[in-house]
Amino acid sequence: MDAVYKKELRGYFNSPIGYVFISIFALLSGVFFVASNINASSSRYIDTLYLVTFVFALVVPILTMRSFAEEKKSRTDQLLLTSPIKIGDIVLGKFLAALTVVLIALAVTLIFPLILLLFNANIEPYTVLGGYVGNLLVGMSLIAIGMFISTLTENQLTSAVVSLTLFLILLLMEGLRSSIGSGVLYDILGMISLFSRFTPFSGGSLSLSAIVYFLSVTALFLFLSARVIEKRRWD
Amino acid sequence: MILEVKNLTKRYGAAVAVDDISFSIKKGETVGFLGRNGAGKTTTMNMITGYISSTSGTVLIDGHDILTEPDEAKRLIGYLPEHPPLYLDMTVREYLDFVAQLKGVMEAKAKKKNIDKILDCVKLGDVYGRLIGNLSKGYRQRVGMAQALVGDPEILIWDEPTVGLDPKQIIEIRSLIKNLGADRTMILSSHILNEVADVCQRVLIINKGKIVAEDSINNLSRGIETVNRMTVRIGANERSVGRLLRELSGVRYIECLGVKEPNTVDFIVESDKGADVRRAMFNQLARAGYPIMMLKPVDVTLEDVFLKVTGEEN
Repeated sequence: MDAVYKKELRGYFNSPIGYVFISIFALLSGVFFVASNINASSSRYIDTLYLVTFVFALVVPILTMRSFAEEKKSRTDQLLLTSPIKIGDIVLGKFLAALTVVLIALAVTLIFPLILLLFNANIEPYTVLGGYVGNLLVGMSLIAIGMFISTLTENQLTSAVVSLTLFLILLLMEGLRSSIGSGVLYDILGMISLFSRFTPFSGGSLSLSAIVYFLSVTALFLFLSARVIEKRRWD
Repeated sequence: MILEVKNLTKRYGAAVAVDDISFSIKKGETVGFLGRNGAGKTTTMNMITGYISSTSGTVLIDGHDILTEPDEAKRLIGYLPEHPPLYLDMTVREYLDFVAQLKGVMEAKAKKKNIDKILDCVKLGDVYGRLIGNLSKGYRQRVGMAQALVGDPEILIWDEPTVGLDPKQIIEIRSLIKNLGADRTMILSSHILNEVADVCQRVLIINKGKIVAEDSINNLSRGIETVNRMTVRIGANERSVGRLLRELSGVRYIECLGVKEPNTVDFIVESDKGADVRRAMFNQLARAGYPIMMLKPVDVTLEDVFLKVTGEEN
């Protein structure tokens, strides 16, 4: 796992991908920060953090599109799968490397609350902390889903487009639900409405059920990624 | 037996890629895996190395089943697939370092010693710091070989190692492989008879997913009549000398190959089985005043061996 993690992390920063991801992430978060805090003269930094979850939907595909698609295309999966290393460790190594890049990107946004402090804004530290935890959980879930999609194709672009489309659908889920109103479909859509699970974090509370939800989604898609790779060996 | 393959089968839907093959390899032996493209060589290699799973049958590497004890089994194998699995955005150094970690060669001193030895062996020292993506095909192939050698595996498996290389590179890679085979167990897959004949003590011939013959090259090619097909170069300026050859009794086929050397013409001459036309040909051409500049039997090809072992007539 260690070897794959290091190789992936180096891969992100040996190529433009890591830098592109962090730059776009910081730029879009910055735009939201200016809009909801600076221009609105608001000290509610959690409003920005809420919007940052949408930024994830747009940029996580950049991070995950290569993951397995590129290994398959360049046939380097042959090296990984004939080495004495478990498929689960390969998946986990890749996941943790992408998560590290997300953590770096989130760390960059810590400058925003510091700017607010310059204006003597009254920041609620625990709400902000909770917001970051929520963001991290959203990021983890999306990375796992994006990686899973990357195992299904040899083409990076397909992987990115499918991930992005799926994330946008997930984003629109709440709007779709409110137009339905109630019923079975309403409940089903509620289960897969990933982004709405962030709501308790923006209210300033750490919701255990939301944490469990995000961790379960992450674990499920990491498991499915490993299954897809394993399954292909048997076809 | 360091490698035992028992009743190995791979099906893709209704198609059978590898059909119930069994063989075993002794420690230190060098075995050739010979077959036309698409005969099932690569599928077999991929099952032996654990890249894909078999539909049925077992592969034992030094007693470890590749499916139930993959880590122990894979540690004993160095594999160079047909397309070397290279990360083009890494330098040779980064790549070999990564492979060493993958294979569990973690201790820094041992790793350095191992990699230095490999670099020396495959002569990669001068491109060690360069990006793999910027290397020529021949160098990339050597990086692929270096990858297989990391961790000093007991068994080396080369799948079509010289495909797509230029003649000079082919010679280099072949001699490297020959040297490596001296103190290791090795499987060399190829569709070129000479490549395997040069290195391997024993050859498995695979056709349509089945092993059709298992012997040394010498035994396999013994009895294949080579005097009945030869190339002859005649010191003549006109192609009409072919007529003289055609007149000889026992000659059943003549093909003009054109001018390969100034003032000569090349022909392929095939005679009936058992008939040796060389003496008659010499006399015939000498009488007409055309010297024979060269006469050589056409090499035994994989196709010839195939025809022999499958009992087909051409």
